[in-house]
Amino acid sequence: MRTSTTRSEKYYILISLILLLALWKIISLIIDADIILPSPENTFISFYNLVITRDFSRILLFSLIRGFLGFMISFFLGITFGFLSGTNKYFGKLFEPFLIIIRSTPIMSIILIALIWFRATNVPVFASFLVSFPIICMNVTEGIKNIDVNLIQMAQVYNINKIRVFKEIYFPSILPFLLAGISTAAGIGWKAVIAAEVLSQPEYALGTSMQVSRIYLDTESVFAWTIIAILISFLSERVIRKFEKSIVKWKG
Amino acid sequence: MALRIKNLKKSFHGLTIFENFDIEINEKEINCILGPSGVGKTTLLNILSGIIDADKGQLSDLKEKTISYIFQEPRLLAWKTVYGNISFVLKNLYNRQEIENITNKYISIVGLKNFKDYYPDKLSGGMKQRVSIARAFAYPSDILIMDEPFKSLDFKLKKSLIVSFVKLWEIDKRTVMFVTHDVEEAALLGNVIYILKDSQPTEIEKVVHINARQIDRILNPQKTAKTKKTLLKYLK
Ligand SMILES: Nc1ncnc2c1ncn2[C@@H]1O[C@H](COP(=O)(O)OP(=O)(O)OP(=O)(O)O)[C@@H](O)[C@H]1O
Ligand SMILES: [Mg+2]
Repeated sequence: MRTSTTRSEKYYILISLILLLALWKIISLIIDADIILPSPENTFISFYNLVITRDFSRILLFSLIRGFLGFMISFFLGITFGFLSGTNKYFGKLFEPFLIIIRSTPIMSIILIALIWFRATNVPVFASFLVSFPIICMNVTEGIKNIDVNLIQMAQVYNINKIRVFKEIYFPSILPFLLAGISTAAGIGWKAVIAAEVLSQPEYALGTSMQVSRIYLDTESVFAWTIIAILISFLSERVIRKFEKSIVKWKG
Repeated sequence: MALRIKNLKKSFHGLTIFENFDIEINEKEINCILGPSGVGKTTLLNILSGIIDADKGQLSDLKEKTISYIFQEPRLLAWKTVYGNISFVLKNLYNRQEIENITNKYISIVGLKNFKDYYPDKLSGGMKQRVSIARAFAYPSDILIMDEPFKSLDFKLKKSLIVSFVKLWEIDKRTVMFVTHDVEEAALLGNVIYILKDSQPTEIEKVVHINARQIDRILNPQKTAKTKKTLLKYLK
């Protein structure tokens, strides 16, 4: 679970990005139609124009808030239900089919149903909640099942009280699983937010902007918004990793 | 004084390990248990420490005793350092300064001063075992249970730990239950040695008493030769 990027790894990333850009440029030259594949430079011009518009920060903020809300709901419910499933065998068995059903439901079905049930701005929140909840839940359950009973016995022999056993054995055992779940859930949840926004069309939303650009055949902007979405995903991943490294010190 | 276990019965899914089993644990002495693998030594220790319940039997005196346990595996918390693993068992018993002193004392006794802030991940098997030993000694218990504490240690280290153990024990004579495969260890440390028979259910095949002080035995190992011979004979 080594997450630090060494110097040479950084070079590889840089080279692969340059290769990607070169490939993109070459293909766009061959196709020679910005409406189908805009060139990298036009995309970046469009990117710049987007970023300087008055509404940009609002669009970004609102989308981020939706993602964050959906995430927080699945975070708290995921931990609660994951904990119940992991500690109570019967609850776990009863609850598992629900999770499997949620996980097997196409994201588009979730969004379409949410469109019927909720106001436009809440559809993305619901969608991101529903895709990330099972992930966090299952990871927490997995973490609990992974707790070493030998350590619990050791604590019992040494008369460690229940609160300390929870804080000093249960919690650290579950933590790596929880963090892995958070990382995956945040990534998938963010994609669900954008997909839901494309369909639900809230007033200020990254997905709405993307869809509008598509309708006007403004392919550069579609690309530019996509790059913004990717950057946000990348940044949130980095933040989570940093956080993970600072608390899971004992590994690696 | 002795703690008595009477009429002990324990079986796992039809496999009877103990049946009408009696054993006396002499207080403030080193009670050694020798026996082949799978005979039920760890099971006996787990019953004594309350980790598992017996199916039947009386071990009433044991209930109120506090216990330190050197398990067959180190059982360290991966997220705590050497220091953290030892102070873990002291936290509700002492104030901060005392915890620090006691923890540091036992870390030096097991020779891990320079590894105090290491996580178990970075320690060798023998080093982890030493942390487990230090933890058990640091905890102020009535009974010290040891399940092959000196295995996975090289000869020199084992020798030095046995010497430190005896010194510690001379100062602070706890009741010790000591399981080993090693005849030499038994002959050096035991005040009383129980040899378990390789049968199901198991029985005590032979009880050997040794009166000589452990320190004297360590200083004159040739004096244990006879005991070792006896023990070997009963272990077939
Ligand atoms: N939790 C358990 N469930 C089922 N069987 C068990 C369990 N614990 C121990 N046994 C069985 O009980 C017997 C005695 O096991 P135990 O661990 O007490 O042996 P031991 O004398 O400590 O052996 P060793 O010297 O190899 O450590 C073995 O046959 C083992 O398979
Ligand atoms: Mg054993």
